[in-house]
Amino acid sequence: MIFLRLKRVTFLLILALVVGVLQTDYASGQKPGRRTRTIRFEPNVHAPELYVDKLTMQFMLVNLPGAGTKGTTWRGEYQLYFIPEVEFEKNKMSNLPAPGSVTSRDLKPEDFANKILLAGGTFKGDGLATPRSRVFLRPSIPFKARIPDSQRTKFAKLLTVYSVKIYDAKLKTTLYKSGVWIAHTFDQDEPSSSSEKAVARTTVYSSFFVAPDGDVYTSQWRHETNDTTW
Amino acid sequence: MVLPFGFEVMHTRKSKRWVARNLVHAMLLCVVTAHAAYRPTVRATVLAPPQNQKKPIATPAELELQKQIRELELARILALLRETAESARGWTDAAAGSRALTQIADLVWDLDAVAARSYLIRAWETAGKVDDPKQERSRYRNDSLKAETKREVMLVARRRAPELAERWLKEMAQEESERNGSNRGVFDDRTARSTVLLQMAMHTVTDDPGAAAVLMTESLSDGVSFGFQEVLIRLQEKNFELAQQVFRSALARLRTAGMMDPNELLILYAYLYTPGRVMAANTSEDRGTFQLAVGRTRPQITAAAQLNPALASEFLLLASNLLISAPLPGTTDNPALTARTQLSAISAIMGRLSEKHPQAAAALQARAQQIVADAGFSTAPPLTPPDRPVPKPGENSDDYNARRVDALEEIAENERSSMRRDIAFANAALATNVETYQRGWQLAGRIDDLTLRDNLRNWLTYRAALHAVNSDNLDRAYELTSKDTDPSQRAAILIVGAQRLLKQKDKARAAQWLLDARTSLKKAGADDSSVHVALGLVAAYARIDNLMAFDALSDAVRLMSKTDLSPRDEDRAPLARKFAGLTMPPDFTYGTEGFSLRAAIDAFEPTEFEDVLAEIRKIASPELRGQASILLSRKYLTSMAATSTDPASKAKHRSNE
Repeated sequence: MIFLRLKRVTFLLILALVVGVLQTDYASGQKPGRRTRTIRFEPNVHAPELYVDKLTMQFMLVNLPGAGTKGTTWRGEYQLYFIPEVEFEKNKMSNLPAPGSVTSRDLKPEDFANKILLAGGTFKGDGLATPRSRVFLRPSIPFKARIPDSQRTKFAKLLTVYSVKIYDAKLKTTLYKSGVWIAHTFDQDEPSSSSEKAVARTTVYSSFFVAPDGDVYTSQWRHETNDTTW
Repeated sequence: MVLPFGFEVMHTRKSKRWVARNLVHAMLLCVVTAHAAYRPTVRATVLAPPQNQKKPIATPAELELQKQIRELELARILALLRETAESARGWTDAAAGSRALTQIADLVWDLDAVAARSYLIRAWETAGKVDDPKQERSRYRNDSLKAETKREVMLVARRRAPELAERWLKEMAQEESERNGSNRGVFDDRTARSTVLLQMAMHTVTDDPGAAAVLMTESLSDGVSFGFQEVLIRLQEKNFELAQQVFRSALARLRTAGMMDPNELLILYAYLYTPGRVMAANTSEDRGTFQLAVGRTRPQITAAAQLNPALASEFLLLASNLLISAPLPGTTDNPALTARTQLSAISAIMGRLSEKHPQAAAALQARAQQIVADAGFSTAPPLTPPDRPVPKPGENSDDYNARRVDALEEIAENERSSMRRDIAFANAALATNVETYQRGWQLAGRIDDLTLRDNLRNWLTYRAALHAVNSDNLDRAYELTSKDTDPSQRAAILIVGAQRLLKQKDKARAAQWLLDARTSLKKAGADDSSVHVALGLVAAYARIDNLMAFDALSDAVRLMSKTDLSPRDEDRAPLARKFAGLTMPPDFTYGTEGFSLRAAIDAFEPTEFEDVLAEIRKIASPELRGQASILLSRKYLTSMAATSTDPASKAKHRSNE
């Protein structure tokens, strides 16, 4: 069977088109929300305590069938933007699902005129046999100092634009993935944070996993570097 | 006592007598076998009787000899199957082990019921050890390898040992009650047990609609599953009366046990009014959105509501009552979700209900107004993603798709990062229709990454060529083949084309295409795709040239030993794509066949048993070797039953075919 998610008025026309898109959407399976803490939404609340001096970006290839196979490589490109809360609201992005949801593919940095580029670059690696060797860290990204004090609000957003190319020598397949994450400036993943108290985010995560059938899963949630399960 | 060829004999007086008697026959068999040890084509020439010559009547002595030879061959096959069953104990792939034991149990049941029963029990135990791959749950439908494996065991158990099937079903029900049923996809069946029951029903519906109806009714104890309507359609094709009975059982279940969620109503509604198209309840905040499952093959039945309006009317009234008496969303854990799903079902049935039962419709409408606030639908206009433009009035799907591809191209052009740009162009190329492959090529040509560009271009060509074969445009397919630089894909196109040519009785051209395929395949690296293509070559060659088929089988076995081929034996032409992670259209190899190990082994004559066995003995993977041995044995046993003069024996083995 083919599964579709369609607009009632238009489904007859676009039926054939949407099949592939949506099949892949579920097959590529981004990680469903987990461990999310409920933080009460308070618009435009000045919260400079949620802004650390330096951010770290962590890209992790959690596991892949050809991890131990010679010739397996990965490389990626990324940019990290700060989106002021006012800017985010102005663009009516509040219609979008919450940060961490699966539909962020529709977002582009170009949607936000007043964004701040915090970091950008590329990485690559081979010899990916150990979990540690599959982690790329981009530490010491100046953050607090780059954000004007008036924009240091609680519900401003961090936008990660990523693309990766993974060659799995066991599958003999090259895997491509690109997308956009939106994250709060506070850390929803932080175990020590209570349900009401937000904790400053120190790390922005991007995790990837290649399933034995060649599907690529992606997630922006924290993943322990020694954990190779998805 | 150990005899040649893997025979083992117990040291009893009786067995010694058996050995003494049969050694004589074995020697005779050796003479026959040695005589036939030439290559199959040669053998065919030597042994085949002249066509117009009358077959001489066999003397009683010859008949006795033939009988004894058959007994020996049978013993040989039993030994092979026993050896495979023992080997399956140590296989690391539990699903393959369970499947092998199940098949062996079924094959030997009539010959050695005690051993067969123990194999089947072991198959069930092994199925319990199958681990479903750890992967993301689909929000639409999730298939379970464990459930599929159990289903195969149950199918044999139901036929051979119903008491075991019953016991195992109870076990499954117990497991289900202990399992947390959350995290289901919207089109998943209610439980693994209902999946197994419905799959079994689907498997038996053609031969035994009554038994299928019983299984379907049994599945209802876990609720109305998505797969229910699919089997119901097949049941209606066979027997509408039975289908109505099962449908009424579903209504009775809803009446007595209540509705688990509104999707149950939507499944039954789909069977009545839109067979083959099932809508799932909307759970999003956009009120105009819904999820739809469409079968690949359009059912050839008249909608049941048309054939029996009274049944439809009964359903509508019941559905209305259930929705009105459902818990108010505010009293549930997730009021918005509850309200949205209820409103979906209300919206689906409202039109028909108004026609049949206006009063009930009015009451249901009131209920809808009561809960709509709980649904928390968004008031903002829905966002239109840039890659999916709004359809224009009267626009057909081809025109729409062309506009969509243009939109995707524009998105790609605006990308600044080179990798993202390449991925965006690839997605645009993949969005093209099969007929507009040249547009796809043009988009692929804009990709900077050489590997992706070539792989994508080949993929588009492969898809277009298979489409050309399917449209009987073989010249175009051949022309496209020359543009595909992937040896496996090229060989696959040529094999599918040769299959088509053989159907058209054009053997000479088919032979040429197969020769080209073989040449191309020699350039391919060893991977799953090339193995399946090699098996496809074997199966196709076996129809025209046995000698080449055996050579191709040797090649396939050699390739197999260099890969970790999955024991899941796909019969379709492989997709042979060298890239992943992009927005892939549905599988275009759907409908192709003849690329499995089974197809390759089935292509040989039963008289070639020893030659084929000698080849498959060289397969390195024990799972694949075992699987091949079972397929070969099945082939031989089926043929033996078919040529037997005993009607009971024919009937017993018909199921093996």
